[in-house]
Amino acid sequence: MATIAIASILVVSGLGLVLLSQESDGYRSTDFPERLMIFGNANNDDYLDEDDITTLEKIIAGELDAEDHPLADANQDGVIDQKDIDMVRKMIDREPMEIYYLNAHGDVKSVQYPVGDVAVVGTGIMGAVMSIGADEKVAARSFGATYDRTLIGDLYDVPIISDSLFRADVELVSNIDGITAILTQESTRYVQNADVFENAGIDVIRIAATDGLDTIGGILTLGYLLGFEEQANEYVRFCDEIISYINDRVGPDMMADDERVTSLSVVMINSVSGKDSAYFSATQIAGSINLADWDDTTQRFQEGDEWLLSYDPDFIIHARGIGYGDVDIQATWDQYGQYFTEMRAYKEGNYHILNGNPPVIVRIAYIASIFYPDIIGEDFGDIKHQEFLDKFSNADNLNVKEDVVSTINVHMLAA
Amino acid sequence: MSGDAGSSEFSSEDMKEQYHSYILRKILFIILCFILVIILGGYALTIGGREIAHLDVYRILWEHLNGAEYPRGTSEWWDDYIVWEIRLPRVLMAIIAGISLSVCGVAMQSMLKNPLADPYTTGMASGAVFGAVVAIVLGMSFTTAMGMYGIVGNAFIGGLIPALVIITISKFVRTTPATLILAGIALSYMFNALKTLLLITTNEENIQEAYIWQIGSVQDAVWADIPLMFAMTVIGSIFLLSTSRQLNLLTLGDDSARSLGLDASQFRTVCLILLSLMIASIVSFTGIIGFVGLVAPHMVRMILGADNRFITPASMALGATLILAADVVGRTIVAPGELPVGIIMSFIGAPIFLYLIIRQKKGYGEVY
Repeated sequence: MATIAIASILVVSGLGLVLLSQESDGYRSTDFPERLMIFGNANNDDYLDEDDITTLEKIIAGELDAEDHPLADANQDGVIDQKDIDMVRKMIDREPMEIYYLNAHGDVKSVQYPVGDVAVVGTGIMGAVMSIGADEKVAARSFGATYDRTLIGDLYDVPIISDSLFRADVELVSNIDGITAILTQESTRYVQNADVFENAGIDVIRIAATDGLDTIGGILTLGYLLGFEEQANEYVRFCDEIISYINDRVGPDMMADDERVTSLSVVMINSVSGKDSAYFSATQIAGSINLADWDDTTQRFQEGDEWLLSYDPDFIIHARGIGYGDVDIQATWDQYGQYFTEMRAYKEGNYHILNGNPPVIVRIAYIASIFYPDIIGEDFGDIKHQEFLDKFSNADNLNVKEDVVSTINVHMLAA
Repeated sequence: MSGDAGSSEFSSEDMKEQYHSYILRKILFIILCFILVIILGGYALTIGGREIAHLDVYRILWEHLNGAEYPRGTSEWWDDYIVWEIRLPRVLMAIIAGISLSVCGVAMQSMLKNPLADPYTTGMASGAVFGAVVAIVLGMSFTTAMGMYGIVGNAFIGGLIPALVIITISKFVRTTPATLILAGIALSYMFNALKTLLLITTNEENIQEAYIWQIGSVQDAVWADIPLMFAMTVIGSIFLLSTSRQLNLLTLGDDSARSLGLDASQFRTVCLILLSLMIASIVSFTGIIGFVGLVAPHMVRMILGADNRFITPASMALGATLILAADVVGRTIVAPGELPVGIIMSFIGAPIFLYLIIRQKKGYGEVY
């Protein structure tokens, strides 16, 4: 009976994957509001279009409550009126103009649309730019050993404007003609000297690029600002399909809590993610109950520590950027796994090292297939990873299964 | 008789000439340091990712002061923006920190009659560092204006605590200057232990921010940092310059000073309060920049002797020169990267200090 049930799940999962991998015209991502954080997106969907004009007209007529439409005030003058309709109409026509948006911190910012050449600070935002095909906009990047040449291709060779992954040097930026904005990600560690750039008339655009599902909204907003909406929507579709696929199988409505696996996630060498970490939400989206109960981003689990043992998760997901090149699997395992050998998850073969170089949505796909291989399909991560490389990166010549180490687990060591 | 008179007259003229030469040497030293500050400051203004020639920076500064304006984004606009907004605050912070820490070193060495007295051996800098770490662990961050002022304010309060403890001890317990130094060292250890305790119980982001903050640096200087440290330095320096005779009296000992009309205890209390404010206003922005308060006064004493009327201004000039030079070295030896001025100052200051101690054996190293 159990065998039949598992077989049925696998067949259904397989069918789902086949369906997901097919193109379907007319996709509109309307199920996820409040992602395109551009003022003027009055109806809170993923598009700037006539529907926003209609919504604005209804707000002005009193048929809709302005408080339910936080992005309706396109010109940020505090009043929703005909001027907003006029501005949104110009935005729909994609006329160059100053527009307003909400950055990753929820701050209202203005920027000249469409944004011209940019300098990119951070691997997450670089990945976001690449995934929407906006390479041509990138005139410079921050220094960083974690930029993966396989993924970013020729962008690896653009001028470097800092001596750190997190910084941008205004003097080096000044040497490059035409840079109108610094693109960076949500963490405040990045571009701490933002005011120096803004005083110099260079916008600092902070986009959600690493934090779970917020990255999808970040991609949409970025796509609009850079004038790459179509590509952004295509990537968002890719993301939505993965999320829907996981939700339809192990989502909140599909599984009771006592059926779920429990997990902890680890980043860097031995830093266990807390509730504020992107990996905490990634493991939750992938259908597990993450046992971390502290609010900080991470807590380090040092050799000799015992505090983590009391959490006893079923799985430990350890994310490390191990790149797209050759990887010494045994050495990597030994280097990172050594801290967790006393955990039950490790002893039962449920400690997994996850390559942190693919985008977060692909990592979520991998995590889900690690947690629930019978339900999600154990190849789900590889399939989505391959799709990402083929459609949204410069590494479309790579075969994920043969050329890339995406995850490392104890069974690979035995092999 | 005439021969005696002539000999006496010659002797007096000779003494006058020697005195003038003595004064001239001191003034020349101060002028030389001042010129070095201008040259080094000008050179420091040329260092950075944008190429601007040495003479051009003086022109850019001059034109800016005369109200020159350029269209945003042009080459001239960028030159002006980078020299004035990015590089000049850093140079000014280095100069002010050098002046302030040196003058504090001079005053402390005189007040406490101890050649090892400086902002760090009296515990004030450790207190300021502890205050800043408390703020960082409480979640304040340099990434927001409120967080930055929270950290600076806490450093300020932390720097005052050792001063108040030392003042209290000196009020109620019969102490010698040496015991005040020892009390300062004890407080330093205590604050360092408290700081370490805080850091091992906080998360790694806080540890990183606190650790980076501790490394003395002027890298992130902005104009907003300058007014407070400048004001405290000016007020403190004017006071210490104008009371250099009283500082000289303190070096004779409290009883001798009292017999010459100086209430040594009261004067020392006023000085300690003022010095703690000066130190906190510097350390809270720059972190720990060690040795300048020790090295600059000792180098000056070696060259000029032990008169505070000249040691104070000369140490100010030399201290500014030393920190500027350390910052220039830190920015050039690993270019395009850079080493914080605190590290360079320790590398430079520690050997110089050892050299001074060994070379002098005794004498110049003493201040009383």
